Amino acid sequence: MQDKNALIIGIRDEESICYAIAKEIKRSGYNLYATYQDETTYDTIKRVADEMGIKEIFRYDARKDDDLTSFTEAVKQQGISLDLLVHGISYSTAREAKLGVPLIELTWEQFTDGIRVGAFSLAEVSGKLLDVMKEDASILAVSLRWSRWAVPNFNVVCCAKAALESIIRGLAQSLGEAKSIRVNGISPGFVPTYSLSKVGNSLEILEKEKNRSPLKANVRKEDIASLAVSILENRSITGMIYPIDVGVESVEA
Amino acid sequence: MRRKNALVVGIANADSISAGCAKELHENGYNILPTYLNEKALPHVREVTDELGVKTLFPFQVGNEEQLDAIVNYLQTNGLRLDVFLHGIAFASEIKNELHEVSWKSFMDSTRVSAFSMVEIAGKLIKADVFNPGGCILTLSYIGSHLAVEGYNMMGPVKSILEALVRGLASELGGKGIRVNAISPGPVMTRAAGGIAGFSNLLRVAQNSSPLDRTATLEDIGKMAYQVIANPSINGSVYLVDCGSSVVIPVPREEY
Repeated sequence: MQDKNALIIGIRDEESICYAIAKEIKRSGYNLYATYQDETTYDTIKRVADEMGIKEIFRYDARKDDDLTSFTEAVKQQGISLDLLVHGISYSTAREAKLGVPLIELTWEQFTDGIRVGAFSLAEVSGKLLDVMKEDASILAVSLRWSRWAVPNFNVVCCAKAALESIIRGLAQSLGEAKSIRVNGISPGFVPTYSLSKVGNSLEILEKEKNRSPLKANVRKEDIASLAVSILENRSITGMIYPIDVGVESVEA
Repeated sequence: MRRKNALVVGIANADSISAGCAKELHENGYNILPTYLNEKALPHVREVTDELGVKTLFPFQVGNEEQLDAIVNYLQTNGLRLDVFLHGIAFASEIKNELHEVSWKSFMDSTRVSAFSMVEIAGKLIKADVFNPGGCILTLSYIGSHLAVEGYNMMGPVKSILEALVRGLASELGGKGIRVNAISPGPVMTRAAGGIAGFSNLLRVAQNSSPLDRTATLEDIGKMAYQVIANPSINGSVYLVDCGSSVVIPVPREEY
């Protein structure tokens, strides 16, 4: 049987949503490849990679042209052909992310940084790796319900997520035509991650989230991972963004 | 009574959606302060603004701080304050590329002109204290923000950013009594639309999808723009004006 390969962009540590998704993908029989942002996160990702049996980690800081080129070239040179691509980079974990700042206080450079890291990187990576994506390959990105609501002082994240979801639909069209590639997103409720700790007090946010849920529970990472793999492998799904949030979004705040 | 003032950024010629909105504002007693992109565009802009009794026009290109300062200066020296800022500009150098083939540079430039410029201009006006509380910011979007419209390519995500900025600014400027909204018209044959591949087909598809079998007129779009601007209960919203074409999936009855 032919090797099945998955590239995961967005593992930060063992708490990451992408970590849970990667584990589930591994369990489904795929070889794993991953990226790390820079030297400051290398050790952690290396530890995760060793533990999980990730075959190789590539350096990719989503705001660097050079990284984009060298990382995608490296994937090509190693002859890795991809079945799955998972994009779960969150702008909030990027170095010097501007959080807690009103829009009119943001410079153009700061704003644009958020859009590239949190959204456009999906289009860039998919475009650059198109040659090594198999026909019928599948792409999944991790979004957030903030794409559709404003959050004062965190609106750069809202804009990035809105762009991300729009890019998912756009790529579903263009990559679908180019190579029958499916492109989808999931929009999980809050779970304890490094990213969440950057936007506020994690415990408070999770408690509030739990109380808003009709089930009075929080989302579990293993459930997110299970949905992720199910979407990735389902050939009747493309251009969709599925919420998985124990019903929070469906209830008036 | 004091005449209200509207800064209108986005008139290219008489076909521009911004021109339709400016006309409606003028008819409702607003003093129009238009910008123009460059000397080449000026005569086409004047064709519109002469009829609206405009004496002063301002050159403005996104990112040019001096030009923005000049507008603020003019307002301050003449004791004018703005009640409306209409943002109707868009640009995409690689509009013909498929989304996965678009360069970051092009996407970035487009995001700045078509989306973030609204924040930059609004921020400047508010910090210079020339924007009245109770005032309104209105921008122009398109349904491509919610649906992948073939040929619209990179502008889809850019309009998504714009609409997120509308909600974001609304959430942050509410304390100053400033409202922020967008209208999202169906396709209109403007100068900018000429750059979109298959635009005349898009117009036809929109018309065929419309239960009314037509596309939105500049006049009706202008009327809705004025309603949104004048109505103090509308905030953070994106209003479609498209003859219903985005709520229908047309299916031909005859053989394909």
